[in-house]
Amino acid sequence: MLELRELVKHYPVQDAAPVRAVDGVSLSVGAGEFVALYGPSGSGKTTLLMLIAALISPDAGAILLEGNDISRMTDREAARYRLQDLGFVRQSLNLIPGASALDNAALKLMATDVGSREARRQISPLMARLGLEKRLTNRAEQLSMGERQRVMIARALSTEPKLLLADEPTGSLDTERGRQVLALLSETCREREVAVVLVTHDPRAAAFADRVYELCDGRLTDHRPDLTGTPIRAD
Amino acid sequence: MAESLLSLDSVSKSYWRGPAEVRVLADACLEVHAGEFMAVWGRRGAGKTTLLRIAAGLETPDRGVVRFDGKDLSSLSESAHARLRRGEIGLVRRSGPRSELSMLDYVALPLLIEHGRRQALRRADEALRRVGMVECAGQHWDSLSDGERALVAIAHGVARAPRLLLVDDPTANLGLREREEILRLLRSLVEETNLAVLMTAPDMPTVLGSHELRALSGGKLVAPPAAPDGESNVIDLSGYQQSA
Amino acid sequence: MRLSNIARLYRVRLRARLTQELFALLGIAIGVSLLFASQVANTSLDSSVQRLTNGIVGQMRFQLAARDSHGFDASLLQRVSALPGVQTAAPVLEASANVVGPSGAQSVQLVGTDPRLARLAGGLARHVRAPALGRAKVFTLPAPLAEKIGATSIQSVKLQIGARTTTGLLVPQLLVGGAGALGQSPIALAPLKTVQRLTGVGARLTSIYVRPSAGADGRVRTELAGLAGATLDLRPAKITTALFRRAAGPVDQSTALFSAISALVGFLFAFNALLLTVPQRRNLIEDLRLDGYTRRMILEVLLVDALVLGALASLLGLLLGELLSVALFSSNPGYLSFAFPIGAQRIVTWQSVALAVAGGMLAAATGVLAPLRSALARGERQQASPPVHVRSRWLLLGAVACVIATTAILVLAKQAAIVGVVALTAALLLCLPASLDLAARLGERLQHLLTSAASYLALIELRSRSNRARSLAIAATGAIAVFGSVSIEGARGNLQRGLDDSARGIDSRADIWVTPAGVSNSLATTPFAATQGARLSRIAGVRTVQIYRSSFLDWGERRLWVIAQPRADLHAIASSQIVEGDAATAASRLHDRGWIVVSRAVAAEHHLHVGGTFTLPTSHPATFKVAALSTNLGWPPGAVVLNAEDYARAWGSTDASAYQVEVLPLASTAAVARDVKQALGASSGLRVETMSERERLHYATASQGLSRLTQIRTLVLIAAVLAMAAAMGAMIWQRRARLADMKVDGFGRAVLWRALLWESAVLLGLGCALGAVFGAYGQLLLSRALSAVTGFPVVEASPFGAAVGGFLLITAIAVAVVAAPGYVAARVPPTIGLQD
Repeated sequence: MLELRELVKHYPVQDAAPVRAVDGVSLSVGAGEFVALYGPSGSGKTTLLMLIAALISPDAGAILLEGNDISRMTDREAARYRLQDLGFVRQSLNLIPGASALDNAALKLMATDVGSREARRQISPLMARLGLEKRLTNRAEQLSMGERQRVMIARALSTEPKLLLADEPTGSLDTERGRQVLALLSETCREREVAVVLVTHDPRAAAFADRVYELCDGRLTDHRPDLTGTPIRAD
Repeated sequence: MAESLLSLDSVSKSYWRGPAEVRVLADACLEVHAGEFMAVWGRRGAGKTTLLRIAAGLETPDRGVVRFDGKDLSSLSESAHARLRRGEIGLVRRSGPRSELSMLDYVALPLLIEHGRRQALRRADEALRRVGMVECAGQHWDSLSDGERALVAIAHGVARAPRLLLVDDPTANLGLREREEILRLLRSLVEETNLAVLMTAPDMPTVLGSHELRALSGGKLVAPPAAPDGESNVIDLSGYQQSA
Repeated sequence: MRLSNIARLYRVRLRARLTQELFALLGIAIGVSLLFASQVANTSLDSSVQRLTNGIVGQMRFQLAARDSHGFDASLLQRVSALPGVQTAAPVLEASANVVGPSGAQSVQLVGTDPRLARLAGGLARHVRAPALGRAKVFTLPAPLAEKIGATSIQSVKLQIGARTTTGLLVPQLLVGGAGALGQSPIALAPLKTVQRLTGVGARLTSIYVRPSAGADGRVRTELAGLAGATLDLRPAKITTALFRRAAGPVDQSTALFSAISALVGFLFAFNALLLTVPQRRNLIEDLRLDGYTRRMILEVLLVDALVLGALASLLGLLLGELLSVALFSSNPGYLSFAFPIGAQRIVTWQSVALAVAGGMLAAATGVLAPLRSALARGERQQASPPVHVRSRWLLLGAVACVIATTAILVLAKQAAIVGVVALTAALLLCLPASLDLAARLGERLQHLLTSAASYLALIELRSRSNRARSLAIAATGAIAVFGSVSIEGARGNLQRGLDDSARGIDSRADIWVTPAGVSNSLATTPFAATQGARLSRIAGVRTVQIYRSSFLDWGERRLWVIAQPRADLHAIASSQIVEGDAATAASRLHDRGWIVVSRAVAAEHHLHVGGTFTLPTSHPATFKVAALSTNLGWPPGAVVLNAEDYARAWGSTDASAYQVEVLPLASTAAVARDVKQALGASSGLRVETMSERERLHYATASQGLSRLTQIRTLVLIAAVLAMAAAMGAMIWQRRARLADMKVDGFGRAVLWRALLWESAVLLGLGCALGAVFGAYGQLLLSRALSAVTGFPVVEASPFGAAVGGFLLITAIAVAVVAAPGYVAARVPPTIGLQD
């Protein structure tokens, strides 16, 4: 469904050679598949996600979603693609302060033709699925970090996208909560046949994935980090 | 063993979180000696940061006595507390400078009150050199990776040549290699300078390299069970290192 | 995007930024209110004169007007009425009078007309069909005026007209109904015959209003022009409005300029407040883009922010402005009422409202969108923007260009002073970033001198880029406030000095002045029959009594002030008032027959130059040679000065406007004045004043006319100090986490507080200092422009006193105000630096 072909993105640096943030990455992800990209900070993970989200365009290569090249979209088409086909979960939990969990989760639906009342009605089952049914009216500040991340996941999935991009979704959470959120994320996406591309530096997060790649200096290796111990799989 | 540098004697602390009273420390006891690397492990919200705040004298316990170098912290004036934090107790935290300082300036900042600017910058440079971050002296916090930030934060803590270093979860957000680098650095600081380190961590693997280990649970500090239980989700670091 | 969704999004986001929104609301409202109040003040004057004119003139088209208060023979009316194509011709006799009631006196324009005008005219003249109560001299006043002088029912009151005092029957309620709109216009209405009797001029008129039948305009105009000949004026019926506009222009302009600058301060206040929510909005934009919102949708969301803010702020601003205009701006420029019937009513036009609201909306849109330019920018987020110091270098170049433009305007085109002030304001704002960089770099250079930790911390903050937008906004607020204050208050001071000088120049010509009574005769422009001169000169202690002649003369759209000094008085005009030609030569020329001094603006309009010859359009037109060009002597439309004998020739009248009494060296002026009063008798309409009394009156009048500027300045300064303190306070407050961090590192409360004070002082001081420097230049520009364009007498004083004073005052107050939040913030508990 998603296919990256020889993707390259360089950043110019003053008085020095350009940073090769993404350097010839090829990858293909099928519907409902969970792919983790593992790598330390500065390895180009976030750049890769921004390319897939059509927020920036590659210097070379192609990004195909169901055969359409995302990198050739106009601004308008890119926005439509992000709205309908894509969900994005970030590490930073910028909920709208003062607004309820429900309003925060419905933010993305508000960009569609759905009215705000209908949007909040539509998203309620998803909120319940993510265990937030009792926190709907709580304001952003009253939610725990884990709950905030789940609100963000609800927002990302609210338009029933085909693809979910997750950028360090557990970065703000401790081990236990991070594990719970990841478990919930992977379950929910599998149920809905949503493909997931997750980038993380956390080897345990990678353990939820069907496939794990390591990203190092902008290059993807099929190397699976050797994780001894027993990671707890959600299923 | 010699007189302990830091001692917590039956320290209790509670908070009101909404209508509910949360007891984060309940008769917690702890002793840290010079040249000792003590790690406290506990879940998020278990009270680790509160423990550090109390150890640093930033907060007073509801009950119990905190002594640093034999002195009861509650008996010190505000300015004496400030002096203690400027010199003898260093705090390493994750937040970084909340302004756009160069890392050299950031590390030099706490030294400014006691020393002239030139002296402060020299000592900051030494501290950065010690943690291997001297090439980042001119950079800004935003441009550093998480691992580099953790190292600068340690330099910030040790630049004042403290006797006690309090370290708040230094390995958050770090990959395995970076975690190990941080722990190695802390260990070597302890061994070389007779520094005492009290470190908190949410994960077991992080704390394995310390001399002493306590688990903070239910407000009490206890020595952990000999073998970590399943819940703690331990990953063997040494195994990973070999394969890398 | 659905409107309801945008509205919902606005509502859910509002809670967290309510305080900042309220601050922004207040700032914009202050700006809107100042704009609105000054607009209302200006249009009230204009509209008051316009309504009064319409009230009398109604549908009349032409005015055949006498050139002096003697008017022309009433028989002309028959000839005008008989002209083919004339539908209606209505006679009017006007005179200035002082009505003395039981509890006060009121200067009014006494207007006599007859039902012919009433039939066609507006509200006012209709009331002239008063019952002819026998041969009683019935007249009427607007009810508020009648009340003011204590005449609440039909009663007999004293009327002072020229040198005469007479009594008339005041019927106040006549004007209660239909003419209510004219409110407090200083006008007394009476049937024509009554006014003729009251003034004692006999069967004379001062003007005839003409309404041609349909399509006969051109023909009637030609015929009337023939009748007017060389001694009467043929003008549009509503000429008074144009005359007034010309007279009030300079004051209106300066009020508008000052209001614009104060509005800018208000908007900067708002901008400061809006900057507080920029990080929040920036995060939101980033999230919205990730979630597939198009740029247009995001813009819609933000525009709704701006729209709601702008609308509410405009509404609040209009309310505040209404209060302001009632409480502060109600006084009219007093001296204009000497020549025009100006009412005290406030008139709000839709243009005033629209302008104020447009300003508010623009400020809101700029405040919301400008700081988010980069976040909203098209294309990739990683686009490299030039480093800050490069950008500020370009801005500095822009500032230099603006200063050069201002200088060019100062030297070459003073009439474009407004553009110059705008350019100077732009230059000031453009050079702020570079100045801030320079200050920081200077601080770094001097680091070895700054040994204290506090000054070093302050330096770090000043260098910080995340503070930059806020720092600039704060410094800009101070800069604009000091700039406006110094430049306009300075120009006002110069103008005031010039006016005082001019008044002194005329008033000091005599020890005692004897003039017709009434406030509107302060410039002694009402002629009266000079029959008592000989008697006055026989009073003990009097050295000489000379005849002073003065009146207003309409020339084109200017109502000129004519001053005719006695020939004996060689120093007719102070040399400071002469702008072209030589003062001594001018004085000696004036002594001769046929010379005249003309205000430069008048000369420019009629292409006159020193030594040139022209005909002054008086009732007995006479040819004059230009002796010199002068300022406007404090009368905005301009003035001419000639000797009293030439005046008598050109006006065909030996009437005086004042007796100038010189006292013998050893006599007491006060005693002589008493004797003069006694000699005139109780029935005289004349008033006796000593030189110092008269000067005092003139100073007071001049400063009252300019007082609005001082009031606005005070408001601006208060708003600026509040804005800076609030912005600085908020900036400090948001920094508490960082302060807590430093406390964890062992920094004490006192050090942190001192650092905050250092930072505030540098930031505010920098802005205010720049404002002071530019303000000094602005003062020069405005003063020169006032003297060049409007011809006002301006005496320039060094701007540096005011500049340094303004700078020190505002900086000190703002720093003092910031000290409190700084102190509280420095007391932040260190624990918040270590949150879970």
